[in-house]
Amino acid sequence: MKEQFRSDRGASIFMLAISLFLLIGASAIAVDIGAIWLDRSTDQKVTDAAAAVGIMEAFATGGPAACEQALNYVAVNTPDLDSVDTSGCASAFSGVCDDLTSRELPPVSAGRYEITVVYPVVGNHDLMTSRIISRTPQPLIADDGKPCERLGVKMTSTRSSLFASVLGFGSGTTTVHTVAMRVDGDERPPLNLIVLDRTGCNAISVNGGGQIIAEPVIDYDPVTGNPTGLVPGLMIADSNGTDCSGSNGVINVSGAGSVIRSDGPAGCGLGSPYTYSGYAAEEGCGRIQVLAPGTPGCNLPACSVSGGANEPNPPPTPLGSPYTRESADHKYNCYADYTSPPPGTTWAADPLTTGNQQNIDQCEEGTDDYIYDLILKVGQTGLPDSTFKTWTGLGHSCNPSPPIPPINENVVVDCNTLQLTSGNNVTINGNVVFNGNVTVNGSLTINPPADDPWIFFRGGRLSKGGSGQIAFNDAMVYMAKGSDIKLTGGSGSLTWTAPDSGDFESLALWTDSTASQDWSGQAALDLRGIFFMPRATASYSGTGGQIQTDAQWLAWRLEVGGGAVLRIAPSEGSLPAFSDRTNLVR
Amino acid sequence: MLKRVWKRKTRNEERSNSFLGRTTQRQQDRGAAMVEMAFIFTVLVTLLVGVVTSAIAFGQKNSVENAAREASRYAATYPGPVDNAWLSTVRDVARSAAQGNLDTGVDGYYICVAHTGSGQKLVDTNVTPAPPTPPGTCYDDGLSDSRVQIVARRDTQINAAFFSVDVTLNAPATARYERAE
Repeated sequence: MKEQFRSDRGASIFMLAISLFLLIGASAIAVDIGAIWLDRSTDQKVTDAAAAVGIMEAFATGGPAACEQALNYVAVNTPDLDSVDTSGCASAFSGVCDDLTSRELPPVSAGRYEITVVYPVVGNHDLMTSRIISRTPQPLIADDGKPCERLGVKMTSTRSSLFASVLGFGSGTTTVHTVAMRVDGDERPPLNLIVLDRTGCNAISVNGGGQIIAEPVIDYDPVTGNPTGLVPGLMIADSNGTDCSGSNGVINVSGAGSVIRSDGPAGCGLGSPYTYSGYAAEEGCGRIQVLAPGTPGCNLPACSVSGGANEPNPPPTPLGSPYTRESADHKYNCYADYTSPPPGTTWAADPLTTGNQQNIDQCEEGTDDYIYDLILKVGQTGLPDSTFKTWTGLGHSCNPSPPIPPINENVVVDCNTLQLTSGNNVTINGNVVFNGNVTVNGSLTINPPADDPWIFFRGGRLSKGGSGQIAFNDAMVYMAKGSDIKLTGGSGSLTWTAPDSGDFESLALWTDSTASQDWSGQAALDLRGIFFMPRATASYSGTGGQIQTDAQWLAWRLEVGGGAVLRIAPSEGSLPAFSDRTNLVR
Repeated sequence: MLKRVWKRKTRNEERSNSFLGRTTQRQQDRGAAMVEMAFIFTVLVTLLVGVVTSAIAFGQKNSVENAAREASRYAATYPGPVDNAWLSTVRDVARSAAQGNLDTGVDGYYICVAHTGSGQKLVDTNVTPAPPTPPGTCYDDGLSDSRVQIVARRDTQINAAFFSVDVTLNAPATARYERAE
């Protein structure tokens, strides 16, 4: 009997022990699983931010930078990570994105995490189908965009079990991912000036008493088209400043009297008030934005001041994401594939009409590719069509003597150099193609037809002496690779106005040249429209006090010196830029 | 039958012995068991309370993380101009997503919303004095682009019956600002 009693008592203790073990074990596992679910929530926050910034960076600067920035955002948003190794990005994402080939960064280990970046994300990739998290595969839909518009970040975290290891569960892992797709964001107000150099120093440079002034921008009612007031002028340096070293910044002002200023509607208290087109304006009430770090304020590498110059007014502020040349491409040269040159041309040792051998995003084949079509039409040699006559065929010399009566024909100027000496005035009412140089010390006036308003430089130099006079009226001037502009300032005049309708509406100049384009002040200067020099340094010099209005400048770099005053004010119809936005599609 | 008789006899003996102030081996065992049970229950309750309060803290942390994620994504795509109204709206999104964990009555609640492009910042907290932050940002993240920063934070306690641990649940988030500036 006694033994039976003892046996029962042992059983209850045993059962109690088992129950306690299971109870505590289950609770402990619940805590550990809770921790893993918490990881999942935290990691999702991380991958969302990383994928979004990654795809924006991919459009701005390409795959390697996209990968690096995505990993930087992973590090910033993960509480127990200081940094993530980005050294594999350059090789994993070198070259141009191809919609057919998915590329993936080999998993990067950082602490208890493993991170992978995928760009592009092709349609059957696990990240798109959600197979990676064992969910029901999701079909692709049109709103998912194209592979090169998508970037994915996958993150796996491993957490050592706090309690459950007693039961043999040493650790738990969870994997999350985000696929972000880039879409066009807001249409920004017209900008006065943008320099597109991706990495350069002194991208906007003023010295020797020169001045760059972004004037206030007149805002128009989108329905009535009537002016409604002023918005701040906007000057942008799209360089990330990685080429900067020493004391020079992306924006550099040097020398007494040198000025970089952006004006806007009155009220900021940063400068003198004045009246602009009937509205109250004020110096320094505009915006100056720089992609490089160092802002707000004028600090390296974004900005530098030396030699007694004043700091830019207002102080530069950060540019959230690169502007790029996208807005111009979309309006005038929207073409899906620019990795090869236009047929029949040999200009394109590097692609003729693209900046960085990248296709123009979200452009369907054959839509709004007006520049490309013009290049195909005119070609590099010969007559574009039967309506054209050659200059010499019309009986004119390449160094003609006055008087030359107005020419009412479409003309190919088949001269190595067309010399217009002082007193020698030429007027052409038609389309003009220049095969070589043009030197104007007399007068050159071109009035292309309103329904097809272009002038084409196949190469060579457009130069003007100090007293020369050039008038390109309501014309879009296309300058091919190898062309350049050398305009000497002085008593002469320069009138260069864009068409006000048609395919080239508001576009005054499109040059694919990488040579320096030299402009200078004139006694009479009238520039109106968009001056697009995305691969060239624009240099402006000459006497001060000369004013231009209604022009928008987009150049690779801009240098102003020699007392020149460049006042830039975009007119209605000037290019807006689009901000980047993202959709999180998986 | 024999068993019942034996039990009855034994109980009677126990009553008798107890009455006389004497204890038996069985009574001693029962006392020991009571002590053991008290000890075990103490440990058990401590563990269970600890587990339960830990789970509550996990839930709170999850809500705070979710608030930071929701608010950062909202702010990244929320059009400007960035002013006090903008900052307050983002703060309210964070508070709403936190499911009560960032309400004004919560111990140590702290919400910081910053837009680095404009240098605008809002700090809403019942911590006095408010924790210092770098100019124009909620915290130093080493980045330079125009971005939004959210910090969602609250205090909580993990109790284990006889002792407790104060814990700060902190959830920072950084996202690039995607709107025109």
